[in-house]
Amino acid sequence: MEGVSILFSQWIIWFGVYAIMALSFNLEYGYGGVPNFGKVLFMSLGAYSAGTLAAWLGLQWASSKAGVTIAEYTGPTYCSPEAYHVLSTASSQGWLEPSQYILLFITGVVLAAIVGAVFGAVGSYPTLRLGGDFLAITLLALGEIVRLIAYNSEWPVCSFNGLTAVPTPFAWYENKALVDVLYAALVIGFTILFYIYTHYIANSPWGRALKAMRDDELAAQVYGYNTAKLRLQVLVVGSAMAAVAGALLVFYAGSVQANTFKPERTFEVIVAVMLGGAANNIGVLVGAAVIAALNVFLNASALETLGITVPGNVATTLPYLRYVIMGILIVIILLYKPQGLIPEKPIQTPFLEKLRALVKEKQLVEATTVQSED
Amino acid sequence: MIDVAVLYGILGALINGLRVGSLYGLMALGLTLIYRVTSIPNFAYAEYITYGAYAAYIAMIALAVEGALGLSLALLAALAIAALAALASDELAFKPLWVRGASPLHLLVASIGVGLVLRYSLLAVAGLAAGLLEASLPVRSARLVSIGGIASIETSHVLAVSAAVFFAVLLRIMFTRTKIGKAMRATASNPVLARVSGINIYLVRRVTWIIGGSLAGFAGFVYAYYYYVNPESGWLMLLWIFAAATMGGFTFYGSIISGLILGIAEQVVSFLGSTYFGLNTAYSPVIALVTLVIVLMYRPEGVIRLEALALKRRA
Repeated sequence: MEGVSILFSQWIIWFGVYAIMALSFNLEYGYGGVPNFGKVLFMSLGAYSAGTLAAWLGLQWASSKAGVTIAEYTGPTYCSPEAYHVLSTASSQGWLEPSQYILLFITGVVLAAIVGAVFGAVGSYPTLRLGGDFLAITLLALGEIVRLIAYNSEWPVCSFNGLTAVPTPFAWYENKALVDVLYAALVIGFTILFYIYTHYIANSPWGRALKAMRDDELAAQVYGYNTAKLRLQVLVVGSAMAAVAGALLVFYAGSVQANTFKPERTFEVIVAVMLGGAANNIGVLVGAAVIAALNVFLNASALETLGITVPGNVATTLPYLRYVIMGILIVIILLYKPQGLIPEKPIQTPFLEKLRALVKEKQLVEATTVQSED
Repeated sequence: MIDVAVLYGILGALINGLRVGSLYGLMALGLTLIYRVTSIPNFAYAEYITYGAYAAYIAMIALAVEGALGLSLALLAALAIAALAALASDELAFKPLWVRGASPLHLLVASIGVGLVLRYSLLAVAGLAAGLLEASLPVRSARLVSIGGIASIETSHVLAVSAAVFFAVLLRIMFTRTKIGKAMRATASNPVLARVSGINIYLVRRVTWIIGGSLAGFAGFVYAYYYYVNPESGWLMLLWIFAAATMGGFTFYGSIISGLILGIAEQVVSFLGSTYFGLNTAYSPVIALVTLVIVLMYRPEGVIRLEALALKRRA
């Protein structure tokens, strides 16, 4: 039973991460028409900055409390086995307080958002020069450059070993079975927050401007919209969101591995958006849930937890099957449902404006009835 | 004073760069042909190369024929399987999308999907069968000339360079001088008009995919002749191939020349970097990626633009 609850919290956490990524990609591509195929780049930047800040700061606090000095290391000090030992025993030894763990989480997420926003602004430079497929290839290549460097250099995340000692926010909690459930609730909180946020900005005048730019850039410019500025803004917002998603993933796994951020991750987000329907936030959530389920449940150990035993040769093919299914999904959606499961809906009129219009109408009716009585 | 060993090392890096570069150029040729005719930035293209390499390997193991005959049978298998994979991906995915008027970006996403299906189904099969996760042809590239005991010229060098030059010239002649080549160009620039003029555009499309796929198969065969192949080796080279093709401005000669430049840069820079700065050679793909980004951002029409220059001279 415990295995099942861990599995489902894993699914919910992955759903949250994919949902935030997909909401941000939807804002960029679905509303703004900017194909940001470098999603995983901004996600990884968020993960690296959150992971390194939490590990570095956590190590400072824990080692000063414990009175240990960490010896110099070839790379960053938090990569050394000694640092790993200090950080992994910090909660049981009482070297880090629960409040400090929470503080590390908050600073990590905030730093990730800032780094994501800054690099999103930098990443908007190619969009000024390129559009469509060439832009997609450029951003894809940029993501691979960052991954290759991170995989081979000690900075920032300990090369191919990965940074394995990130203090997770609930490491102090005694009941280890509930840690994942708690974290899943936290991630769901973030997801709801970002859903409401994207819903409101997508239906705001700014969101309408984005749609105008997507549908006809020249017409949008004629109406006085600065499309370069709009692209910059949407990339800043989208990249900050992607970076936060990366940070959330890091604080769940407790480690940062450069190879988590292969281009396949971007493709998964694209599939989620296309499956659910571009420019439709509810549809995107459905897509993210499907992708997360494929990710979490389609392997032998997860199926065993759920009580399904698979023969050995099927078990070896299962992890690959996930991507085969995803590839087939991409082609089928593009062929038969290019608008996705839930197509785009017209922009909602905000509730307040609707209310005002109603009140005005009523006053008008009253005024006319008063006039007719006279 | 530079060490003699370093000089020989640079010479070896140059020679190996020629081989790698011709391979990149050879791979970029098929991508260029398909992009020119169908305007699909085909991310699945690298998988045809992997399929060709595996077809060559399996044919050679299954038939158990040694020597030149075995190699030519393996080559035939590589050409057939890669062409089949290319044709199937067009018939099942790209053509129906094109008929429905998909945008280049949608075609790009579709090609990513096709690539995922091809790559991961090969991985699944290779995971089940023993010995398929890492394969190479049983007849290996042999040393022809040895220079100073460090650098050497092998049969694979000769094969790669001559094939790259031969196919570039052949494709250029086909594209400009033959009827099918003219039909291809007509289809590319205006399918409706081409159809009205009596060109069977679907046939032209099929021929394009078969030629493009067999080029990938040939490249895969040459690759397996020297390197070890795994189900992801094509994918790992994809960005190099795109870099060569875009740098060459999606022209045939340009692809080969920029492939050579990239290959030599990769080998020489990573050799010098590791001897003098102790840089890990694993960084070498960064060279291709940075080139790709710079070219796309500042010269999306390509750096090597022989055909554009030739047109200018004629005008």
